[in-house]
Amino acid sequence: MKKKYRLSTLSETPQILKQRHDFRAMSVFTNAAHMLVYMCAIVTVFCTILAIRLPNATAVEALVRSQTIGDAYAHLRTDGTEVPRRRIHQLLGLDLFDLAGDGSNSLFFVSSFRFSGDFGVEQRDLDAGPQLDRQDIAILYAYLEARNIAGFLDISAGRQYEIDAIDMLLYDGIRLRAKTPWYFGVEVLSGVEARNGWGPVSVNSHELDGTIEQLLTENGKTEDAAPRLVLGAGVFLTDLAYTQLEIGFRRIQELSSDGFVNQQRLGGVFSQRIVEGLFVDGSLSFDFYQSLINEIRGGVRYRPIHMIEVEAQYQYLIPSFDADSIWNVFSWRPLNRAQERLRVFFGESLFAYVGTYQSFYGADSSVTQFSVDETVQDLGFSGGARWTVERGTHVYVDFTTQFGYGGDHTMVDVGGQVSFLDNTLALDARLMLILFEDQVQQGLNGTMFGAQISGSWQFAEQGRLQLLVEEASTQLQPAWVRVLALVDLELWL
Amino acid sequence: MGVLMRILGVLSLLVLAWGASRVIASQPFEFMAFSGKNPDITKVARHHAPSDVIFPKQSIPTRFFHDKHLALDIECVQCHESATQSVRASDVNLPSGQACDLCHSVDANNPETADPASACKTCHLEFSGAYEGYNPHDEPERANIRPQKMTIPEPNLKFNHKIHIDRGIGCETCHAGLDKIAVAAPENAFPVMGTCLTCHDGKSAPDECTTCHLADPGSRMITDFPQGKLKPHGYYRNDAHDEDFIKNHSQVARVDEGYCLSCHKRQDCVDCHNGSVRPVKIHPANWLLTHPITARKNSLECSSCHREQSFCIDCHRTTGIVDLAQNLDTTVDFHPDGWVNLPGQPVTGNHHMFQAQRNIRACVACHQEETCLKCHSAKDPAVFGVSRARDPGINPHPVDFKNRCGAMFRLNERACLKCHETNDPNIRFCK
Repeated sequence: MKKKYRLSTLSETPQILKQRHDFRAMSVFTNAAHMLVYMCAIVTVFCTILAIRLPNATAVEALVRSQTIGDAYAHLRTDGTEVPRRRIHQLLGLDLFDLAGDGSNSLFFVSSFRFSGDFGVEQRDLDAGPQLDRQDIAILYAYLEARNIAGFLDISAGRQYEIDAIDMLLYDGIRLRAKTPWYFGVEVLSGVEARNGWGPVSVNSHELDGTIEQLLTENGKTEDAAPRLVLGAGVFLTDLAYTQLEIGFRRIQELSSDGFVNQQRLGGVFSQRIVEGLFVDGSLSFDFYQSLINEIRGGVRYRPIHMIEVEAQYQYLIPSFDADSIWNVFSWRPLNRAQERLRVFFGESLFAYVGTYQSFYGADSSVTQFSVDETVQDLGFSGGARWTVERGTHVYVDFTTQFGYGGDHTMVDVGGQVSFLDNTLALDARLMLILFEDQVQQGLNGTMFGAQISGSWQFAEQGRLQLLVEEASTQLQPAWVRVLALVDLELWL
Repeated sequence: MGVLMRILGVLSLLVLAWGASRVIASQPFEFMAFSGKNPDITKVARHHAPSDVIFPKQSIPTRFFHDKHLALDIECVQCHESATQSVRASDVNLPSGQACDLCHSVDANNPETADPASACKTCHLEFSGAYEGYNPHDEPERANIRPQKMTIPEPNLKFNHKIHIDRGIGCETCHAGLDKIAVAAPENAFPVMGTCLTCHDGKSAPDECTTCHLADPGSRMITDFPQGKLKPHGYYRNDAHDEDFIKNHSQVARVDEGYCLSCHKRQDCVDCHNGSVRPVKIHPANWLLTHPITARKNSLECSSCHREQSFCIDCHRTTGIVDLAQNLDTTVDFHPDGWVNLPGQPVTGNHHMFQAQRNIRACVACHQEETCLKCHSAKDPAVFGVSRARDPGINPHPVDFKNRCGAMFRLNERACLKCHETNDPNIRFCK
């Protein structure tokens, strides 16, 4: 007889997690010196940039953004109990533009902060271990940027995202981008990875995959990860309207005596327009830690005339993780995927598409004595259309069916929006039906239904109110309802 | 053989698609003119026309023949004189009736006597209100017999004709093909962005988007207009904001993040990539309950947004969908028979080994390292607070691992030492 899948209860929280909790306070303390030095460095750079660029008096353009989100639903745990979620998130953004006052916006500051309250998770849950402890206040980003210094240099400092040839990374630091007169530029960056739980205003969902907040060491002890130094460099093409290329290197390394490397990668990405409507693009990433190419992507898209577009993509992927994770060892059969898509545009307001994909994992049977399929495959087809009746009013339908690895899966998604009163009022609706069957994950087999209806009111040019109700039904949770309310404000001062 | 057949199949599809598109492309193509009902607006074959968000729909109820005028070697500025001094895109640089009168001595009642022959309705479509003695200035209330008005809304663009003309850029550089068309309209005679980019390359002329496009005080392009939202169609970069773009946009962002930020705020990235609330435009209502299906598929669409910095574990940890108990016996209901072969049991096709090798991301959404260490550690997993499930530990390394493990050990030995003692002979190769 199968046993019921059971999550740990509070009393069963393993000793190891309690150790982590105890260790945390000490570790944060030891990191304080790092943080202090680091924050001073950031502030120094901020002040330097301001001193260079800021005139004595200036009319600053300020944008204040506010988004208040409240949602309520009950989430089902796999042990059958429900976790009531009653959350409020307040996002505040302050952007200051044209700090230099010359009208060119060569110096600006942008920021976003989030304050979260989860009234569903009780204090006893939080006391049980750090795994339920979330950051209530987070700086999502806050950086100062100076552009076109001396006609060629951009500098940004603060908490910022790096989106480059390798991936997307949040870090606290400094980035310099310099353009040369010879159609290329160089970029260097340095800082500290913005990690979950690191610092008082860190960000919940950011840390390299593979390890959680604290490290598991070889001695079975856990410790807060030391701050991690991010170093990056890149070369990119500039001033070529139809050619984009960037090659980047990134190294993330602990600021500790061991100096362990957590990530070291080289990546490249390019896009080229051959003729109007015909593009090729691609990317490649090499993981120095694992000494292998962990991602390749290539694609071609062709729109010979306004009415027709064809597209094909190929992707090769071996997931790689933080070098501290043992999972790099387990994941080694690459996923290969090809996908094709045809779009037909019937005028400006209606288009339809059909697509297909094929995924397969090559398996070398010589590496195991066990019987295993040489190739495991996953196939899928999709089709759909979207019709824009007029501005703010549209309908769409999407049909997808997938079968093979991961189960057989058919999905119908229908939705639309209708607007009234010069687009100040809008009603959205969406229906979704999923049929799923998988031999491996039989617990999820069944028919699932979801409905969503939402109304939004643009009560002023700068303000919007939205109320959304969702209902879903699955074999796991026959009746699931969620209510979400959202108030958006955006004011130029 | 199977793989080869699939590759051949994909290539065949591509070749077929390419061939079909070439056949279609070879056919004469005329797009629908969208500027009113004037049949004299000549349809031309162009890859695409300027967006009607940039140039809102015009109404030009006028008959005119650019081709005939240009054939007579009449200079553009003879009629469009104001263009030489125009510094705003909103300027309407069309000639007045007096400019026409210089050549067309209109005699409303006796067009045959005029040279060239011309009456009001020669140019003003459906205008037949002229009669002997009628003076429109005396009878303004008779609007119904007045010529239909042209409506030329202000373009949502910045443009300075004077600068371009002063630099010697000929009219035909931007308004090409006028010698073949009658009435000119945005769809047949106005330049598309590609025309601008031939000079605006960052060297000869500025290539910032906001050189031409309207911008907010933060130097971001304004994209929301009464006529609709301005968005890329993929003519100049591989950036068409189509139904699939939400899944593919990372490629565009990675190659030139600044390009995205010309229109989008940084907050637009964060709303999804570090959002606290599931974006309802992307994931449907039942997504919370159905996303394991997609995750199990190892769908690349997931990783196009949920990138290498953790996503799954953060939410799963909060809501208790994590194998915190690390107790192997409690998890067997979720996985099928044969998932774990306890001592003496045979390995089957459902074995977790194959799933982990192919799609470990699905495993790590719930499990922590300790789960794996119970069976795969070469040293006693008791040091991690978990009991040993298999003795000796099962080797999870692929066959070529010895060629790669040196770099792993050198860069970060900590992961190795979770399973191996420092004096373990198995890691001698790597040291």
